[in-house]
Amino acid sequence: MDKSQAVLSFLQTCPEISATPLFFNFGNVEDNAHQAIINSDDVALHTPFIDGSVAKRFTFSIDSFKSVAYNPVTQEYLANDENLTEFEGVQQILNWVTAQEKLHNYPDFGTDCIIDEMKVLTTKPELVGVDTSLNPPMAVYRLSIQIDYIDNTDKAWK
Amino acid sequence: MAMAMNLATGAVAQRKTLIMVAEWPETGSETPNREILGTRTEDSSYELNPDIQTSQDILGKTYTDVNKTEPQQTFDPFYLIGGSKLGEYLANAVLENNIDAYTNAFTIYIIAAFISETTGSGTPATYYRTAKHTGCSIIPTALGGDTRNNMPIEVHYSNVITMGKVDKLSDDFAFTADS
Repeated sequence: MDKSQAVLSFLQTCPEISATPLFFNFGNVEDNAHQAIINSDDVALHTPFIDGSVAKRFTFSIDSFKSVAYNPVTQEYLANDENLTEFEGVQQILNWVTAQEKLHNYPDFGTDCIIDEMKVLTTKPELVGVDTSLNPPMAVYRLSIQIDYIDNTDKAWK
Repeated sequence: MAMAMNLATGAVAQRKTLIMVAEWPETGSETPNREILGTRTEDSSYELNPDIQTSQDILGKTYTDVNKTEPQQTFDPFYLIGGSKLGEYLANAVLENNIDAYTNAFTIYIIAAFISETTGSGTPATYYRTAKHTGCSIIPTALGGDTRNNMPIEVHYSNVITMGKVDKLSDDFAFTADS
């Protein structure tokens, strides 16, 4: 399976994502939609090991679109603050990815690749912008995820 | 056909075509364990460590005598990787301080896959040139590290050598000694 397909298939098993539209690279900006963007694929981290295998890195991002509200935070409505609730929803995706790492549950990169580690590069979702031209205005939160793996495709020893 | 270098003129043999494989008995089984050495190792060489003596006669000519070689090879890092039987075997030996488990306990095959035998020009290799050392030691020298457990090993080759060939580049190869 192609690695991009593997990542998309993997993301669709995330409860926060599976119930919402997931786009690849391009898609509609709508509330609660997600967009997976491949940043780099098959980047060798150094020269091959002596057996011909190579350590590689696959990096991708998940953008989460969330409608925003302009209500001030108050103690009374803190638990119902829309912006805070939406942010925590994105945090759930981050927590899910981190939990999958602990379970060694990874995207299926095929039999020639062994995933070493999958990690989110930030501890909190990154607010990358708000599109105020939309109605309602839409915030974009981003999670960047890095997968390090060993590619055994060119090993002489099978 | 005879064994020959299977490289194009001017091409340099890739490091992955020099393969060291450890073999040791499996308790209760007639089939030995085998495992390639060097997984996730970036640099490792078969060091001959020659014992060299030089002398010069009264005419000024220098004579060189090689008394012996003591081949040795270091694999660092040697990570403890899931599924590695050798890693498990050596880690247990380290924990038990069982030096007999790894002293003179291994057969090491040195497979030069860049020297091969084929059935004809342009056909895939059917055999690969191999040196079989019996009674070798694989000595763990440390255990630990920073974020991942590393157990560097030193391989001390016995120089008890049987030359021959193997029929494939995988753990289930068959070794045939030269006649």
